[in-house]
Amino acid sequence: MEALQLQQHGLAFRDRPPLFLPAVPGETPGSGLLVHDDPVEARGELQVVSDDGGYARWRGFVDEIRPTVTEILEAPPPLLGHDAPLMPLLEQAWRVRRRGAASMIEALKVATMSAEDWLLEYVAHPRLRAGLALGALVGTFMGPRSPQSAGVLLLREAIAGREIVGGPARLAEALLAGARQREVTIRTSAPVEEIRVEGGAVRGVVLRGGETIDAPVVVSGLDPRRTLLDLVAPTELPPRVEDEVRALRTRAPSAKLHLALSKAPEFTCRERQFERIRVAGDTVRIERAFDDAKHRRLPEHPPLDVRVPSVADPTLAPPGHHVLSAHVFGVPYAPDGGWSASAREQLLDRALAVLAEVAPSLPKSVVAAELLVPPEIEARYGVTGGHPMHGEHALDQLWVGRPGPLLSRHATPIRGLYLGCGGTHPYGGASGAAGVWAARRVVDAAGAP
Amino acid sequence: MARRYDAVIVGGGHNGLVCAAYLAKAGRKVLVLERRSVLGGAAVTEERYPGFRYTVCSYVVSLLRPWIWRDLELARFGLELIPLECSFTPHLDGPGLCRWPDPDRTREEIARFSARDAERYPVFGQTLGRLARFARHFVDQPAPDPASLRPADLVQMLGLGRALRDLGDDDLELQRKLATMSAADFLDEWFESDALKAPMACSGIIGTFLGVRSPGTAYVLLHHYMGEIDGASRAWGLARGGNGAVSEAIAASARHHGAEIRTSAPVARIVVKGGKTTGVVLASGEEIDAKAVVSGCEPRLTFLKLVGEEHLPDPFVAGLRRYKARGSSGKVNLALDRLPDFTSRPGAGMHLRGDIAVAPSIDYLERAYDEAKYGAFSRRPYLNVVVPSLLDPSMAPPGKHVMSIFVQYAPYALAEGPEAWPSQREAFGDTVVDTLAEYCPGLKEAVLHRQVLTPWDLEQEFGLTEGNIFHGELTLDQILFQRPVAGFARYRTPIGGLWLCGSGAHPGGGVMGAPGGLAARAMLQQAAV
Repeated sequence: MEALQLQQHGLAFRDRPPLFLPAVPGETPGSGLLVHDDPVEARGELQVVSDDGGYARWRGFVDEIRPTVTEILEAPPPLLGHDAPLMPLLEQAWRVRRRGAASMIEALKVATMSAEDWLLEYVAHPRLRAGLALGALVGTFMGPRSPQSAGVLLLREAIAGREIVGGPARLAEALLAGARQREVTIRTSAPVEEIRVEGGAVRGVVLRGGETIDAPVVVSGLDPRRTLLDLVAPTELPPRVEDEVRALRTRAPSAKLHLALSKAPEFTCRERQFERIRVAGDTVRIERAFDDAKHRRLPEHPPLDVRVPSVADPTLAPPGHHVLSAHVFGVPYAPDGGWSASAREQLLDRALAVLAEVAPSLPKSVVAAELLVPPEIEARYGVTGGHPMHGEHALDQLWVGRPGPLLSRHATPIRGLYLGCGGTHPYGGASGAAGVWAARRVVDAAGAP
Repeated sequence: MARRYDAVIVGGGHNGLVCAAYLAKAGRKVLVLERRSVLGGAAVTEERYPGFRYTVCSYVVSLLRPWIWRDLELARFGLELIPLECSFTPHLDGPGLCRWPDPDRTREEIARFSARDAERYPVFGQTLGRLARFARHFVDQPAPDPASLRPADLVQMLGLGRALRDLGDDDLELQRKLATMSAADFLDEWFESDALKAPMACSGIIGTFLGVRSPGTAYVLLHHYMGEIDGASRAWGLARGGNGAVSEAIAASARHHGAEIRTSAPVARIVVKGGKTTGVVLASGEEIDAKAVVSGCEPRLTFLKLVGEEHLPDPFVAGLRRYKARGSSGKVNLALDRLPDFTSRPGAGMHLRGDIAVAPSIDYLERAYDEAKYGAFSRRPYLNVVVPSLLDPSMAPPGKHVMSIFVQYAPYALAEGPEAWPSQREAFGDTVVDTLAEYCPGLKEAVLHRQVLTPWDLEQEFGLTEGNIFHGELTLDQILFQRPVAGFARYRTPIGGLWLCGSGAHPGGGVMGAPGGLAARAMLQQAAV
């Protein structure tokens, strides 16, 4: 961010707002839980659920492990294999080890555990555990009982904390402004249909409509599969690279719900407005929703990860109105019977029913609703499988595995073609890190004789 | 009257016996104490119905380490293995799939589902065979300690690193995927046919409360390719006389070297004074002194019941409490008055002379898991069936048969609580027989006797905590340097003179003998006895 002086373009950061876990009538505590990231701030609320400091210990462990995670994410993944230099690997191992044997061993253990098992060691209250566990599932195809979901949760919590004021759209605007200032030409409505490759080197791109643009370097922000399987001619792609890309799993974990509301969501359990809300019930409910997705059924009670950005930024909606967006979990890419109009309606109804459990008047205040199911996200935004991260987050699909040892370092075996997308190291999501790595690789290559 | 032994071994399961045999062979004075009247722990053969011998719990042998076989001269002491001849997956429609030792025949079988899979299958086998050879670095050595900075440990880690590098780039990449992916996802990268993938994926879930789509289950696929019988790389086999014969041969070897073995001698307590053990007390009140006590029992049973929390450091107790041993399987043994007859392949063909897997599709297996997650046994479980009497007529009267059915999933923790199992035992048995009878009509009429073992029974009868057949799940967070608790993965425990030698120690469960052998080796090297 500093390198691009994005603050100049209006980019600002803030602490992530606290997470609200509303209660259903009859549940204890009746007022729901407002969970602050800072364990000291969180203490007051969590005392009600007789949290014996477990939440604070959990946060403490995440904080302890954060520098190690950051260090791994900020270094390029090492080369592995017979001819790979040993030193970078040993160096990285040492960086992890020098922070202490105990935390290294614990991190290795947590990485392979399930979110449910891991959180159970700290948090007894089912709704609190479910609220925290749901954070693991954005970007995966897992349930809270899937092994490795704790690893993904640890990763997500380690990189979370600060977020962009105004949401990811502001990041895009600031980047755009920054790029324009540096005389980058930006064209919209200019879909690339082909990446031209000759003799193992990239030559440029062909746009829809036939326009050809020559360039010695092409960086793709599309996911690896789109880039290499759809835009590059199959004959130009080494079979091993093709295998690596094909193997990348991109099963979307969720649909996206957008609501325009005539008033702020009113929760039965507490009179206040919240920006960040999870309506998930307990972890059994989340797991069952994942079962539904696995078996190509619509979820009975889809868990929801909700944002109401208009609470912090009233300009997003007309006065008194609000906008709500939510990840709707437990949604298969292709349900049995397909995405018929009635299937989509049913899913929307069920999502609204889940919201109504905690905010009964909400469905009546819906002015407009949009539900994007994975195939629509795929078609509209060009991401394979409609997967928001360009590939599932899982242990085998991170680090050297993102998307695999041949491509995780952002260069491709096609000279001049680079990947700067969420499907490469370090992870998917609005971090920009993969783009930075791709740019560095381009510059490194240009500097080389 | 107390007698002083160099080592007392608690539990006469196959690992305890292996450990005893090695220590005795090295000239130590050893006593094995077994609670039950039969030796072998979960590797036992028992005549529960006149004339029919059940291989009660564990039923196949594949991982028994060749060095143990050799060192303990098990063939000389009567152990004989009979290879299983095929792997049959019946279907409700059509002839199902049978994989044979003859590659051409297997190719034809698979080609009926997918020509591409038929071509890839032998390549997969060769590849996994290579990777399995690498995995032996882990199985036949004490667990590496990645956090240790001691020169010997660093040398071991570097050695492993070198072995990894020497795999070559392609195999290294596969190894990375095997170590992290789900069995189903891993197989998806190779094969397209559900009929082939489903029975293959099963080896990833046996004994573990996970599904074929759960991340981390792929590495267990290697087990199937690690099978060695008598030094040769081969698939799975049966012990002549059932798995009890394995235990008896090891016991015979141990006795030959001078070990003393007592059955019906339950240990009530491991005596600890000032952080060190001085021996054991039997349920009868008899005290037995020993320089070292070695437990082949499951770790939580060993420490929380036999030792007692008060003698243990808190972090170790915390580590034990998070050690997962969630039982997920049961066992049904049948005495039959005739051979089973499958609709898929009628008659008494060769297809019955191997293992038979009721695993028609990946979805079927995953559904079985999903049902069990919430505390009920699967309505349609995964079954692994063997008819030992076909290969070894000594198991049943002439013309009659015994059938061993391994069943997954049967969660120890029923929604109603594990103590509800006795009231659900027969319903569970019915579900198993009904499931198999769908493929094998007439089965029910052929049953002369049925033994149903739920996870509750496995715990009560065999001391397997929560009925987990591996003394703790073989998930990634519980193997190698973390088995059973990080920092204590090399058979030593926080109690001076107390050692672990069971499946809850590295490298884990299965009729392998490696924990027992490696524990004895560690004790001798460190002059503990």
